[in-house]
Amino acid sequence: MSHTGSGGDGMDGRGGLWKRIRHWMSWGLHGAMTCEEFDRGLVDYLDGNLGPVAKRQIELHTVLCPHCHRYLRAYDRARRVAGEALREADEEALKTVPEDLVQAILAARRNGHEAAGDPG
Amino acid sequence: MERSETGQQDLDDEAVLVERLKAGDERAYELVVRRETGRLLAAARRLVRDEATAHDCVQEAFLSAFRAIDSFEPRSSVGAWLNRITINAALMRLRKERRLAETPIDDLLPVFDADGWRRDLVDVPDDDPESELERRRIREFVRAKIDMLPDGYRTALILRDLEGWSTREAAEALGIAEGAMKVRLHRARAALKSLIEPIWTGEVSA
Repeated sequence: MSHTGSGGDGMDGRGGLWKRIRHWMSWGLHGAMTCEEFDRGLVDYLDGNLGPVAKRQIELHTVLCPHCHRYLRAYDRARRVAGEALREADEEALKTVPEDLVQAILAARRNGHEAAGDPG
Repeated sequence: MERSETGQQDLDDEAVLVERLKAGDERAYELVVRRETGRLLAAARRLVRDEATAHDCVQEAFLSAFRAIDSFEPRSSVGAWLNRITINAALMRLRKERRLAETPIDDLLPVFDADGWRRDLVDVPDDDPESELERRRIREFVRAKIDMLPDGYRTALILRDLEGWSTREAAEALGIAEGAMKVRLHRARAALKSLIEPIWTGEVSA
């Protein structure tokens, strides 16, 4: 969803308050990062691979930036739901194992052994 | 104990099972094939998305595993070992068919302004729906969206977020650098988020 802003003073708009926060993040807060830098650090952040300073920068940005706060929540949720959705498909697949495939694998093993002259 | 006397209960013990496989016990092989085929087929299907190719991958994986059974070391279970071999067989297929290349998905990625500030705004409800039926519909919707991802991204997502492989393992399997793997995974997750967002915002119903 693209956000264009309403021009109002709310946190969700591109109005006064958000502009002031951006200004503080750009110039006033030591170690603050932009949304794009935040985005680039997400994989390492969620893997727990960031050092303490970088981790603090990500967390500070999440507190200060409502857009990235929501983005992280959606990103993390998408990751979780994807896992759940695929695991559910696995459970369905386990209910119907194709017998012809099982037989083909067992026959291929037997044939392989016979071809190799292995009685086992 | 004589080979012929090895019972079902004994084969439930992983160490005994491995020993019997190494000794060439046909019952042990059949047990493993029956126990693991469904799971392996699901793993192969997810990657190659073609039933006949998935069957081939599982068959190849079993045969290659059986040939290498003497070198199996019990650091992992037989099931986990077979799973990895199956995934590698599926990735080999995708690579042969040149399906793992990174393709543009810019429309699904986050947008930033010239100063690096986010231009896309999402609003996700705090909680999952209470109804199991609704949650099931969402999972179906999500599966359809995962299928829409280009193979290179879908594969990255599956290896990391479902199979639980490390970045290094996934990068090696895909033949790319670890940094490139992280970028690909991030894009895959971001694209999936964009694809499933409409169901959270109510723009489409499950």
